[in-house]
Amino acid sequence: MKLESRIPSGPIENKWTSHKMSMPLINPANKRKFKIIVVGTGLAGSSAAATLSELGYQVESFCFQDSPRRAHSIAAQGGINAAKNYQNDGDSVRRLAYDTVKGGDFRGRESNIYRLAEVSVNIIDQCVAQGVPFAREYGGHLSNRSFGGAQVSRTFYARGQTGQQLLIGAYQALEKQIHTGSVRMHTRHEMLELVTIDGHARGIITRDMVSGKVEAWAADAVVLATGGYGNAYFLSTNAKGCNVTATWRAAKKGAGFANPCYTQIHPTCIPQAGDYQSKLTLMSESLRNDGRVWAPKKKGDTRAPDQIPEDERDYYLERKYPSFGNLAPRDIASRAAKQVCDEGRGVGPGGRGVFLDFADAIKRLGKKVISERYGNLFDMYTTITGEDPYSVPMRIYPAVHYTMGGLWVDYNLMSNLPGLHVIGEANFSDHGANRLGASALMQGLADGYFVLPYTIGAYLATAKQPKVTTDHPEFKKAVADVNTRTAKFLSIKGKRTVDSFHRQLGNMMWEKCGMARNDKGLNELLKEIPALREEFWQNVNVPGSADNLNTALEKAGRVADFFEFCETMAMDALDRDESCGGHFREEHEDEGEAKRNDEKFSHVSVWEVTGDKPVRHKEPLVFEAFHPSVRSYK
Amino acid sequence: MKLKLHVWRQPNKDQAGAMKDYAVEGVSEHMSFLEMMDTLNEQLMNKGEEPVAFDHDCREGICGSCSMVINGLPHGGHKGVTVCQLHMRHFKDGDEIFIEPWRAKAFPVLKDLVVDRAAFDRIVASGGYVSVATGGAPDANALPIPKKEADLSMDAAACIGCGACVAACKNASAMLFTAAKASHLNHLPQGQPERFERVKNMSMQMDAEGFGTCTNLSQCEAVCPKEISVRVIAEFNADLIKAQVKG
Amino acid sequence: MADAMELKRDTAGESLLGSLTRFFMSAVGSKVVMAATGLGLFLFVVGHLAGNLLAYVGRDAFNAYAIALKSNAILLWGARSALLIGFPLHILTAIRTVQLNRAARPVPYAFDNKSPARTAAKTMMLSGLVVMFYFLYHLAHFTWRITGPQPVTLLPDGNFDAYSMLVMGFQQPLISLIYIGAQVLLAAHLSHGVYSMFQHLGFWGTKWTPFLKKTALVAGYGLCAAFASIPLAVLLGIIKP
Repeated sequence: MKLESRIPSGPIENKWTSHKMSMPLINPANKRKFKIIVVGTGLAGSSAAATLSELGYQVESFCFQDSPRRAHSIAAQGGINAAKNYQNDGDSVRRLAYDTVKGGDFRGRESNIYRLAEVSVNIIDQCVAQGVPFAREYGGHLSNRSFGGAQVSRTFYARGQTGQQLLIGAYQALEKQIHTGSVRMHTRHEMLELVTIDGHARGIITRDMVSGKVEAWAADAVVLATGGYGNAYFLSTNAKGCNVTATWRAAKKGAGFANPCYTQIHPTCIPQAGDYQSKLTLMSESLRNDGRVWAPKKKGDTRAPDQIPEDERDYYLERKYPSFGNLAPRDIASRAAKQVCDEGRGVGPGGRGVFLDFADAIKRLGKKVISERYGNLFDMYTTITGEDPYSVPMRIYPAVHYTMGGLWVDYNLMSNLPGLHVIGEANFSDHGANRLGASALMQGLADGYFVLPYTIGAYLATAKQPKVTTDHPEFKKAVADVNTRTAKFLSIKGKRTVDSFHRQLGNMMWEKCGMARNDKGLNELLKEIPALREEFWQNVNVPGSADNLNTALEKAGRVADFFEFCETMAMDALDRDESCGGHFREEHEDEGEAKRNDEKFSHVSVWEVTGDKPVRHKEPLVFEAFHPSVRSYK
Repeated sequence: MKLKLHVWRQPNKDQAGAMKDYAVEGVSEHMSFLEMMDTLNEQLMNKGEEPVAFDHDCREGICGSCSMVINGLPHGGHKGVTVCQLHMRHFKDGDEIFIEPWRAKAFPVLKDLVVDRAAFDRIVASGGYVSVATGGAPDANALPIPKKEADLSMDAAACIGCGACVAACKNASAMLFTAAKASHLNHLPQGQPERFERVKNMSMQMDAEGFGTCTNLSQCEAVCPKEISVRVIAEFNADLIKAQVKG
Repeated sequence: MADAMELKRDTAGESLLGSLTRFFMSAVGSKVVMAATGLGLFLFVVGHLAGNLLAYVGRDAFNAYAIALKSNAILLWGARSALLIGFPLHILTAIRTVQLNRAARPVPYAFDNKSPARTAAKTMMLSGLVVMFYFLYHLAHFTWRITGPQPVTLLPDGNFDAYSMLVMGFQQPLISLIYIGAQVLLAAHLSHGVYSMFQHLGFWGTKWTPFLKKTALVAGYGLCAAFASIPLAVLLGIIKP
């Protein structure tokens, strides 16, 4: 596998500018001769499809939802970072880039991250011009707030709906282009195969989720903007439909999958209530500003929280991290909660939860202030749990909510398969081993509005591939492959539902490749996954037919891919014998802190999965502008 | 608890559907309504039957996918929630529950409880945007926007496009949705140049999709999970009237 | 981009009449017609009530008003044209929107739609229909004078004795009952219609709209009470023949 990162030379401040100048351009009249497929309509996909079509390309856009506006970018609450320095607090492109590199525990690609910080300012301008209703001050100017991992106020937000508002902005731009006819939109279409011809990505195979029709689509380039793989764990804060199929299918055709073991666990989610639970809900991290996290000192203490006296409570974050206390970073707070529960001191059903207590804050500030600050979050908690956090402490537990790993891409956001571009959460490039709050929205829009539309031109101008149609044998073969797989699912007629397998796989992943991983557990996992996968292919029950809307069939395809993907993920976690960011190997800790090994692991692990066994390749990480240091929060 | 469900089953767009009865067991009061549906589906599949198809995705009340009329009320009728946020503690053992899809000509049923809401996308495509291409936008703070206007815009922009307004309306009118989309942009300076063309085009598209007319019953407002006010409808009407005067 | 603008402007170049017709046929435009004609009819009702209340003053005042109305062409034809134009448009638009609304939901809910709304607001078509039939009967009685009871003698100056006619009519309990019943439905109709009018014509205010909703209730049922007081007063002998 050839991994050519194509990072431009020169000082980091000039890389993007000089790269833009050096890329070949395509004459506007010629652009319309190129067709580009964009899969996924989240922030990255919608913004890319709209912008590419504005430039004159013919765009075919696909999403599995019933409308492009429903992609899971919509669920982001907090905000979007940009180095605008509107607050005059010393922010700059360089500082945002540094914070992101450091937040990622020096496992991201510095040049990409710097570019991300550079274009972040354009994103805010663009979104405001589109009519995104960001929060404003009384003077009419944009309001900012601060967010985890940063010492400046650079986060722009729109109530608790920043993701939705940004996505609506991109969606409206996309609908505008659909109306002109320059984007053809295909909703309720799921990508099931990537088609490569002479080593170049030339199209995809989709299934119409309503009619069941399997169709081939040919183009000059393919863009995947299909999000992350957090649902490998079954329970996560991702939407139910989020899946790894598009990127995994591309990986099976030769695209390298980078750093699959980098997953982010968010500490403040509502704990699982029972075995039937279908997903987890995230509560804003801001709650930790006033809430105190604690667990009973005694194991198996089932008393109501108000019956547990003060001296029998363990405010473990305050105890372990006296200077950061309840505001310890996400990964650290998450691991501490797991530790407490592993010791048998967890609270609530299943013993998987800790208290987040507002009693002191209410005593100090009054109920009114607390309700002004967190009223909507408290309401949400009450809706879901039926408990009143004003009188009973909240119960929280960590949950998976973002994946930093993804398909490997070069500086042009192109994978090692020429013509296959990957943007947003689906690629690996910008967050290293841990993502900072309010950076996911920034990356999706940076890739879609301001990076890919330039860099894809460089590929199209130089690739010089002949035009192909879906009559090409590779398309026929891919369609046949999809049909064979579908027929196989329907023919098994086993005893267990798809969800029961997914739930079991997810639970295995969470226990052994979740918040904390170790050699023993990962080795066990690598035996358990193939065994369960075997059972899946023997015993899964997929009712219904292929020529109709069939939710069980859709899920079966996704879970089958998760089975393969999870094995690679576990291999990557085993291979990366260090702790960094969201990847915590219990063997490598320094009093609970992740202990990096820069000497051996300052690289991107890229997995080639086309053969019998996944093979790991490396892209060494080069730090010219920022130098790796130790993250400490004591 | 044990529940008796009456669920709309329809094999596909072209075949007729009917209400079908199911008994579902082992429902916990902590389940969300959709988890209760998952439970039903697991039980159906274990009996070799096809699961009930329904739209859902984020399951945290923001994507707007879920769409069920529960006992005559879209999203079950609790203030400010979608079906995925509705919990079973609002029901009791032995309850009978009627579950139906959104009913409107413009939202044809695709299967069971799944409807086609592409009409909403087409309404947006007809004018629900600011015609600005990527790049070349002025600095975000170059144009101050009074907080009050920005807040009114945000109130309307909170729409998640679920279609409960249409489902609730006696006339299956899409006025709340259409007007919310217009109001979001019409309260911002960026939306002014296209303001009147926008409302005209969106109104025409809304009619072409076959939605009904508004009779100001505010049933839409009552069931809207984002509690969007019918204020936006009055604004839309006013803008359309002005658009006639301005040609 | 350029293409987008052209597609959007497909209404440009239409004649004024064409664009207005198109607007008034649209979902929103037809409701503007409803509201505008509704406003005219509402004003007519208010004027009518003002006249009726003169019955309390006495025979002479009431008859003077009736004569003044008849002999003043501007007043009479102003009122009549409000009816002649307003009524048919109001009714035709109602029929058209009901058709549109029925078509918009071809398959009904199995479980009745429970989305909250006032009954008066949900039954505008019914209350409107009843009021229309009553209106025709009312015309037949007082204007066309084809139903009874009709006074046999004219006033000394040769004019028609409207006062006597009113009293004679309302002395019949059945006529009074029909009259009061129609007023109750008219009140229901107005209690939603008066608020709805403002909404359709695009008027909304954070404080104004709740006020208007209440005003509509008060106006609707207040008018009803005022109208209905007359037959009651006749029956109770407060207004004497």
